[in-house]
Amino acid sequence: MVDLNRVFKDLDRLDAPVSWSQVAGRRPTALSDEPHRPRKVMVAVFAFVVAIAGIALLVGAFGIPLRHPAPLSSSALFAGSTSTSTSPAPEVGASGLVVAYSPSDVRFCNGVIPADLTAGPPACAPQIRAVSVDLSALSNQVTAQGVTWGTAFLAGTFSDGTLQVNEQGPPRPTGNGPRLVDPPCSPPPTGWATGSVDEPSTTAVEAYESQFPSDVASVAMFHPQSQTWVVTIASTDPARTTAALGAEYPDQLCVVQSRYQVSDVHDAKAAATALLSQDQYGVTAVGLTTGTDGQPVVEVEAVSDTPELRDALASQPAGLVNIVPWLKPVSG
Amino acid sequence: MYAEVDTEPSLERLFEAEAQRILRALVAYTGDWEIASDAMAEAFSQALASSRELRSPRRWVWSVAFRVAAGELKLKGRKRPMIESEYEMPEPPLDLIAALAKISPTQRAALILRHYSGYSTREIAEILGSSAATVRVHLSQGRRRLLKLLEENHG
Repeated sequence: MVDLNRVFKDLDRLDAPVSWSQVAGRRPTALSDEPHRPRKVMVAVFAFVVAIAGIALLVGAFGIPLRHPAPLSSSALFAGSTSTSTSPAPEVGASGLVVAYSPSDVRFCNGVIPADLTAGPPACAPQIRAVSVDLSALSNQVTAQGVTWGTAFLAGTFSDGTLQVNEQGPPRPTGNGPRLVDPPCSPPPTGWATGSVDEPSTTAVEAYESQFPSDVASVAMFHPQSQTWVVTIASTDPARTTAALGAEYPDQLCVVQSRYQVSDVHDAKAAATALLSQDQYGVTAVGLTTGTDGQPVVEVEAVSDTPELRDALASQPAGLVNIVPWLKPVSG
Repeated sequence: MYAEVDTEPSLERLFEAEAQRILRALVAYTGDWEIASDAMAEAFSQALASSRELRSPRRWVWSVAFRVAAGELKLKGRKRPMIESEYEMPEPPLDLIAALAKISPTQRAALILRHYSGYSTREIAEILGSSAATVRVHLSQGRRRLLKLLEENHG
C-alpha cells in the first residue's frame, strides 16, 4: 500500500525559491489581465465565500451543480404552499445571494458561491424573483457589467415564485448541521483516549470497508472534548467491526448497530440525487452525513420543504432522509 | 494575572515559515509554476494590504492562495494541471503531480492540504469554503483514486 504522507512529503524536494520582496513590492491586484476584475471584486468574492460558507455547511457531501440562470418555475415547486391555498402566504426568510440583472429583474439565489474568482456576476441556482430589495443595502455589494450583486437576509411573503420582501438585513449565520460531540456509546472505563490534536486516520476503516463492503453505513469523527476524537461507525455487523478495528483505535472507537443497510443508504442517496435534475423539486444538493446518534443521514437541501418533495422521497426508509429547506418560516 | 494571548507571527515571519510550502502545494495543485508563484505572492500581498486584523493569517493566506490559483486555472481554461517542461522535478513528485492532474480539483486540493500541509478536515473545510463532511468525502474518494493511479504508474 502506498503511504500517501510519504509520497506527498516528496514535494519538499521541489526547489521553491521565494523572496519577501515578491510580496513587499507587489500591488495586490487581480492576477488576470481581464480589465473588469479589480481587487475589490476579488476581496468581495472572498468575502462572499466566507459569508455564504455557512449555507454550504448545512449539509454533508455534496455535488453542487450550477444550473441554468432562469428563475425556477414555481408552478410545481411551491404548489403546495401557495396557489392551492386561499390563506395568506406564510412569511419566510433566508440568507442568500441577490443578483440584480436590471431594476425589474432581481433574483434571490440559494447558490453556493464558487470558490474561485469570477469576473462577472456569479452563477447561482435555483433562483426566485425578489421584489422591493434595497440594492444599496446589500452586503459585499459588487457592480460589474451592468449587474449588481451581493448577499442579504431577505424575508417576506412568498407566492407564485416571487418573494415580496418585507425585511432585509445582512446575511445571518446558519447552523452548521449536527455537531458531533458526544459519541453514541458509553466511554471506556478509562475514558476516551486524549492527546491527539488531529483526527485519527481512517485508513484502517477504509481497508475494512474494502474487505466488508456491506458493513459500514456511516463513519464520522465525534469530538467530545479538546484533543479527543472518537471514530464512530454505524455498522450492520457491530461485533465484526469492533473486533476488526478495536485495536486500531484503542479507546477511540464507537460502533453502533446501523438501522439501515448500506444498500439502503446508497439507494436513498441515488433517489435524492435523481431529483437534482428535476427543477420542480428545487433540490440543490444531496449528501451523506451522520446524525448525533451515529446513524447515516441522506441530507437533501432544497429551496423549500414541499409536499411534492416529501412524496418523491416517501419510499425511503423512515428517518434516513432529512430535507433541509433554504426558505424557512419566519417567526413573529 | 494576565490572560493568555495567542499571538500570531508577523506576516513576514509567516512568509518565511510558510511561503515555500504554499508554493510547493500550489505547484502540485496547478502543475503550473507561474500560477503557483503568482498566487502565493498575491495571497501574501492581499494579507499585507488588508487593513483589518486577520484572525488566522496562516489559514487565511493558504485559503486565498488556493482560491486565487483556482481562479487562474479556470480563467486560463485549463481542464487539468500541466507540468511545465522547463521546471525540473525529481521523479516521485512528477509522478505525484501527474496523478493529481487526473483527479478533480477539489479532491486534489483536499489531498494536498491534508497530506502535505497537514491540515485537519475542519481546517481544510474552512480553507476551501466547504463543510467537513464534504471534505471527508473528497478525501476518501480522492485517496482511492490517487492510490490507484500511483499504483498503476508503479505497476
